[in-house]
Amino acid sequence: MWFVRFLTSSIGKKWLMAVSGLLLLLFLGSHIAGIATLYLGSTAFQSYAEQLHSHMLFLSLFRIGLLLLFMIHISTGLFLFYQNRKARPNPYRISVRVATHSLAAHAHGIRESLPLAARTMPYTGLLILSFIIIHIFGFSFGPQDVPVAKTVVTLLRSPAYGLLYIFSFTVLAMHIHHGIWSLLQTLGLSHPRFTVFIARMTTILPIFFLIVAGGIPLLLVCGVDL
Amino acid sequence: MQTIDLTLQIWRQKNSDAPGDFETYTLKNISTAMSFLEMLDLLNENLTLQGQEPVAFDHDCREGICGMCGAMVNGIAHGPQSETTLCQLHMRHFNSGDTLVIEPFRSRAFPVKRDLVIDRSALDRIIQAGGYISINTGGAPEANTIAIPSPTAELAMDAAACIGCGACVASCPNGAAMLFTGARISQLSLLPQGQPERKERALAMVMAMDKEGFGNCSNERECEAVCPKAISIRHIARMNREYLSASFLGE
Repeated sequence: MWFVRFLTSSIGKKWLMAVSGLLLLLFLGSHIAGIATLYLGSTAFQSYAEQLHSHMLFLSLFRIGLLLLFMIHISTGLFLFYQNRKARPNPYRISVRVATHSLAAHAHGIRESLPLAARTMPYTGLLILSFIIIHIFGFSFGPQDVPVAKTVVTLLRSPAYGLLYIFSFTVLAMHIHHGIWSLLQTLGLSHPRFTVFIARMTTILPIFFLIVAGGIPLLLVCGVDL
Repeated sequence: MQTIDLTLQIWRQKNSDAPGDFETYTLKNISTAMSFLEMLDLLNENLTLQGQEPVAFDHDCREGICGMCGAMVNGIAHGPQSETTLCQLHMRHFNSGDTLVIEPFRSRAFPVKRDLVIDRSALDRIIQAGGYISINTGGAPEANTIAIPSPTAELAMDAAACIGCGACVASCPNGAAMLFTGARISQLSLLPQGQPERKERALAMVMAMDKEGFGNCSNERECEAVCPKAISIRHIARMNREYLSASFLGE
């Protein structure tokens, strides 16, 4: 079947990573928009959470889809990681990385993503996975008799938890920093007209995300009441 | 004449099955006007005079257009000078007393034949899968029968500049051949002569590439940084586009 042949090809697997990554990125955007209600205070956040949980059918479907997306993104990523390691059975004695930015971006004096971010994608990805597990167990499967706003504020106020969150958001920002550019390249969306715009977005979007999401634990750890 | 002395650590391997290892040589009085390959010639002359086996390395035109030469010099394909092949790298870029580690291009798809000589026929098989035009043209047509805008011709030429040296594969952290295949697919997809077989070509060449055991691209841009012809990864994006549209919309 053509679709199976497509998905099992090298470009097809990259496409799977790109499309699932893009959808996860969209989820991240909506999730952060929801969480940002915490800046308006615990009551606003609580009513957002209750509003969201009142649509159980929609929420269940969304969760199944999300789980599927994560499974596709993680399993394809790990498979590619394994395949790529096998492609060079004898390692070099000396291996130097020389790439800083692509030639296309270099012409504009900018770069799409830090080489470090590109190099560490599998590792930042696995760190994000372990963060998500902690995140779900802390909040989604947290105490049911306490309002979720209270659980969030109490947990994130503890310095260890708050710092873990800020660290994880930084790792996630780095992952999507390369991810945004990488997925566009994989989907073939590369054109001189958009080089500068895309290169700016790969930096602006993760930093915006980091400020909005990381600001919450930062404020709570610093003792600000939300 | 200015000369330098170098310590060379070179990968020596008898054949594809033998285990290889590094040998250390000291080479004195290397003229800085020599190319890297002439420096290896000098080493081989000395080795021959001492009754030792010379270091096997591939070379042909020695002017950067044939794609035969290539090795990793201190971890960089074709050495530290950008946009040059190994034969165009001159010894004036090194200092006396430097130690150079010289290794063959490594990839599962490029078995080492001997010392620095590798088998790159995997790239030939990718070309054989579709990197050509097979329309019956009859007698040679007049040169300007098919009008091609100059910018398009330039873009196609940028991709066609690929000499198939394999540095992209060698420097890719994943041992992927996407820049090579991307350049080949791009070149023909940009030109009117390539249109009739455009979709089949993308499908066949990517399938051939996958069959050779190359890795998968993770967009780390190492390939274009070492490419002696500075072929842009934009051609990889074009290949992705070509393959996507051929897979979803092909006949």
